[in-house]
Amino acid sequence: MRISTDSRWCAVLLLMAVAVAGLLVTGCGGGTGGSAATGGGSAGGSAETPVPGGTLRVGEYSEAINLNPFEAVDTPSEQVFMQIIETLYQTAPDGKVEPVLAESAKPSDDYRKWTVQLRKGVKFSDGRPLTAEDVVFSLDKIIKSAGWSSMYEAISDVRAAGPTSVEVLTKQPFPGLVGVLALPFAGIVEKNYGGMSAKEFATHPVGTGPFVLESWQHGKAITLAKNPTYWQQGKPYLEKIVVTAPASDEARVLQLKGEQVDLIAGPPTSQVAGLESTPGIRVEKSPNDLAYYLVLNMKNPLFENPKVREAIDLAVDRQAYVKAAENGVGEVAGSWMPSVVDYWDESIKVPERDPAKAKALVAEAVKEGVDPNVSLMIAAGDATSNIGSQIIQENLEEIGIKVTISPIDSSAKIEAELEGDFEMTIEGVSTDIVDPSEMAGLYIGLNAFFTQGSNATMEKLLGKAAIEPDKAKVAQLYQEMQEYVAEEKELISLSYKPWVWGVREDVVGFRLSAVGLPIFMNAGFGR
Amino acid sequence: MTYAHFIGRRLLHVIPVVFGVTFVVFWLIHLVPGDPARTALGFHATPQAIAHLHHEWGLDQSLPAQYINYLGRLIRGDLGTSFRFQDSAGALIVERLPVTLWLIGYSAFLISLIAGPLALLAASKPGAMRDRLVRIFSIAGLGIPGFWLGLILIQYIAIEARILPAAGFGEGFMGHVESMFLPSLTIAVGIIPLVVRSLRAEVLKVADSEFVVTARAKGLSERRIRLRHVLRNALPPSVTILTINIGFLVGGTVVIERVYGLGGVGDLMLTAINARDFPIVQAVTLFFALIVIVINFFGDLLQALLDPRLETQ
Repeated sequence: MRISTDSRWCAVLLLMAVAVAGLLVTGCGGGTGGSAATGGGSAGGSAETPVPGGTLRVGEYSEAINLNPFEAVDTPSEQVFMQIIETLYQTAPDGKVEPVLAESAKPSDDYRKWTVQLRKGVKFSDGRPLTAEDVVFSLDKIIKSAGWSSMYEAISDVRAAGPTSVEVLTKQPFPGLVGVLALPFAGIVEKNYGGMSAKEFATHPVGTGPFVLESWQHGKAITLAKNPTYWQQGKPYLEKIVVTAPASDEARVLQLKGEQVDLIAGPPTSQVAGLESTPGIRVEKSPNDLAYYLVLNMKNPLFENPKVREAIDLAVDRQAYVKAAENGVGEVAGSWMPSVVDYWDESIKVPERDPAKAKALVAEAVKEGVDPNVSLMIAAGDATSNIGSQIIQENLEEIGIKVTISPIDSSAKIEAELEGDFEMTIEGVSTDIVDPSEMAGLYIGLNAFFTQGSNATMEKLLGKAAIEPDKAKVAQLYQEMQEYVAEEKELISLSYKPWVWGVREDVVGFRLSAVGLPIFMNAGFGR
Repeated sequence: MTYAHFIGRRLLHVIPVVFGVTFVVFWLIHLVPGDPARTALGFHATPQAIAHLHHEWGLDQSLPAQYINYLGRLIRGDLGTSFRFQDSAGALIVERLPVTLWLIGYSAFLISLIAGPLALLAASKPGAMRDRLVRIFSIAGLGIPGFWLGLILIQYIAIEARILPAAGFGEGFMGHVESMFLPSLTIAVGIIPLVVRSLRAEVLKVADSEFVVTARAKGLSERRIRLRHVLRNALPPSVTILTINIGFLVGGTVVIERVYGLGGVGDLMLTAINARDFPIVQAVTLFFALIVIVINFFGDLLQALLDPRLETQ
């Protein structure tokens, strides 16, 4: 086609050329800076000590939002800032709570005052030494934080007792202090954020950890670089970590298979077996840190009848749920607390399935006047809930309860659960620390874990456990809490699940803490 | 009417459209249940902390008051501040804009590149094998869901054949050209059939018209008739079809960005909807609406050039 020499054509072509040029310029300018090529050795390295150097490319669930530990509540942010900012204590892969920036923590005889000795010779990545003042500032921040204050209510004051010694004063005996100090959000930062505002710190965090923040290209990647002055000599091995957030579960798995990333957080359970059998890829699992439940709303007259609750407990086929809905990644739950927590009661088992007995119980309840129709709220688009709810629907129909499945988007679902505006729902929870006080506190804080049931017994038992220094007695109290929930059958335990990561074979030394958090300090590439 | 008037009148149309978009989006997203403060603070947050955040974000005001505040900020050029990122919505969009613009531009380029020749090929001999093949391709293209095609292309072209990257935006200009090819192609495949069918039909219609018969009678070459007379007259409706479909194209980016793990504006919007990050949802919808408006504006402009009668109407 010949181009007309008409002047209007020139005008339009010019306009379009400007638009296209603009598009290309923005496109080019948007490219990430350095290349994120895989460093280190070849595939198949099984040696646990990595070769120093290399860039590890990590695909996260979603983008980090806020790298200020006292303001963040989300896991992707936590998994990034915990590489930069260390805590006084941390949860190890074996579930033990081990000191990091603390050397020791000693309680007074009445457990109302703890003296924490700080590790000596530790420096922040900007060169300033770690002091008691920094710890006082940091603990004060987490105690007053909007997201986490409920876990630290017992603390009344934190003060410096010397250059490397801190005193924590509590309103009541608090033998469990060390357990809650292992929360990654209780990070230790410089006093007054080293002169930054909280908002500035959220994008420019500084800590004592093995890595420092090199760059954060919002929407693209976070690059962490080795902290050259890290207090643990010779560590970390990696030169850099580049964290991206592929937009979907599928994209994350495909990038791992396509060698565009070296490890990914949380592949969907449907893909775990496939990844395990993919050459060059292995799957790492934490202990069971997540627990899933069928939550019965006690405001519903149907569930006020204990026979119906017992019938549901007898009818639900947890084996089928784990096998089909969770693709065999989890395991059948017992106690409502995930099995990773301290004092987890392994003697609590879900009952043997007995649909005949369950059916009889429902029939009796119907004679007593209950309406055996109920709706089950699930998160729309969530494959596990989708299949799981159908299994539960079938199980309950078998015993005479008609279930309508109502998918709803996840934000609206949480709001409905908090408001008690549902009949049945499937919900899960994970713990951030192995100390069971977080789980017990969450149960109470969320209206008997959304069941809208009574909190009185749990409050009484947790109140006693929180101030009890004798570990045997604490174990007894937590056992009672677990038995109580199992007997009430308002919260029907379904399954436990680990945190799962997909890892390329040449990555060695990568570990997950017992609560599923990635530890990159010893990670690197094999020979 | 002059060309300037034409442009001016089209620009005036933008104002009610933008206003309408802000109105619909604001009310829809605020009427859906879900609390951004709860998402931001997590399960451990106390009711006091939630209430404090509601106040800070102005969510304790009535919805009409919130809408008026939003419009006021918009008039001052402020798209709002993201609840989640505590950063300006405008800045967050700009950060992710290159990916989405690349996707839209690249798809439009592929559509033009593929649809034009296919339509001419089909129209050159109606009913022949080539015409039937093009029509079969069109129906298949219309019928394949974009997300499925995306996953298939990734599996076979990226993972098994390792010809192109499985996901991501790539590095540098050539990196983008390479990485964005599959996502752009995925979007293009859904839209090409619409353009092909319309352009083919127009070419056939024009080829039958009297002035073409006259041109032949005058003894003009077949090549000159096809390109200078037939194609030129068949283009305007196809431009309309293409620009109308830009709306689908922009909508398609939201899904395709997910499939290919591209952190673009569409992906920003999806996560914002889940987190009830109202300012982002509002800003991105407005931004998408503006893209559609701007592209349609260029389409009108181009059409007025291709068909001078439109100018004077």
